[in-house]
Amino acid sequence: MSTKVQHLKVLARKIQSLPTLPKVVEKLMTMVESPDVSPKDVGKLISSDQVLGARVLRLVNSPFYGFPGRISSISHAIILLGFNVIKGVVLSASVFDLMERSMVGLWEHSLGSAIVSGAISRKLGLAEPEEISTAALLHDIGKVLVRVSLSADYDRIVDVVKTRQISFREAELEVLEVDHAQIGQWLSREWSLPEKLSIPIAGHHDPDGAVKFKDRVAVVHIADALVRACGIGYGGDPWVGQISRKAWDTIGMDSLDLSALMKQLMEDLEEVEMYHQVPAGG
Amino acid sequence: MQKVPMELVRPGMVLARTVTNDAGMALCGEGTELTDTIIERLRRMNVSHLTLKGHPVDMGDTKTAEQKIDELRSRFTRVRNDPLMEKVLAASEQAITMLDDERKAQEAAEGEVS
Repeated sequence: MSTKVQHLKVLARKIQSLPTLPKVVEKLMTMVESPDVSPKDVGKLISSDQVLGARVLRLVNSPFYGFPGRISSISHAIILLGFNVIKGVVLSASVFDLMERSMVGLWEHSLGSAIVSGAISRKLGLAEPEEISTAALLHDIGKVLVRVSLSADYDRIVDVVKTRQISFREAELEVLEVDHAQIGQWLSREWSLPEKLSIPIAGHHDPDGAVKFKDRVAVVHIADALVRACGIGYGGDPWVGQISRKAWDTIGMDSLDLSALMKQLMEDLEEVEMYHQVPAGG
Repeated sequence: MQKVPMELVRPGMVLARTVTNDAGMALCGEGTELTDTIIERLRRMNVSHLTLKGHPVDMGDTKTAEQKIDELRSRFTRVRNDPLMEKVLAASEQAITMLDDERKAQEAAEGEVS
């Protein structure tokens, strides 16, 4: 474990610059920590960056959050969805901007995981399904960082996946000695994401190791596999990963009619394609 | 339901999903029957695709349920022999078959109407 920590430190040094977040996002991250911040203030801040404001509205109006086409202002979105969700959405809107252009497959995988996580959470009656969706939206953020900041290593990982037919994560461990979940964890800390988001990001490949927010980690872990099963998006390799039986039981997946669930997910996931229907200019 | 690029959209086709602008606000509602005017307006707003009811355009991309199940099985190659994953695979196969049956029934019904 300590060698991994050391290795992460080496990587952190290698990653000299984090993907630069817009000034607005940096301000937002500190702003929402303050106990007396109002939705109006945060709304104003986000809207001051027009492009970002439009992207955030587009995401919160997407079917992932259950209010399609009905949220007209960012302060309205904050009241409905809460600061944690808005924080995650703003982050994905800025970081994934790059993905939408050059990593479309991963972007679709992330959107798909958000949809599946939301659906499972609602079906099982878990608290705060929007937050769980947001954690799922961000779960592979470590892969974006590898792509952006360690692009030579990224190319090698892609090459290893192709030639040896192993999973993206196995290839990461070979090339980098850490995986995207650990990188995501480190990134979450740098960006001071709340634990409700950072723990599922860090633990989505090791749900049995989670000591906190086990339900949320389990949902994201399972959603990652189910969205792959449905054949939506591309998470770095084409395969469905092993689902942890313990995670499955933690949230009581056996209480659901599995084929009805898969059918609903396949239908819901058409929304991922639908999302790309939005004008290209934005 | 089918996603169709704007160039292939024709009057009389019906929207299966609401078209939204950049901020996700509705431009044109689900169920709208398209006219030349609406198509032109959406085109000017740089909308690139529409999601339409039924399967109005043959783009040669429709996979059969058998093809989909074959692809599904190949995605599961690394987790065969695990009882939980076999269960997920079986449920997914069933879901594909159910969706295919529904689509066929719907197409048959639409065929009778027109």
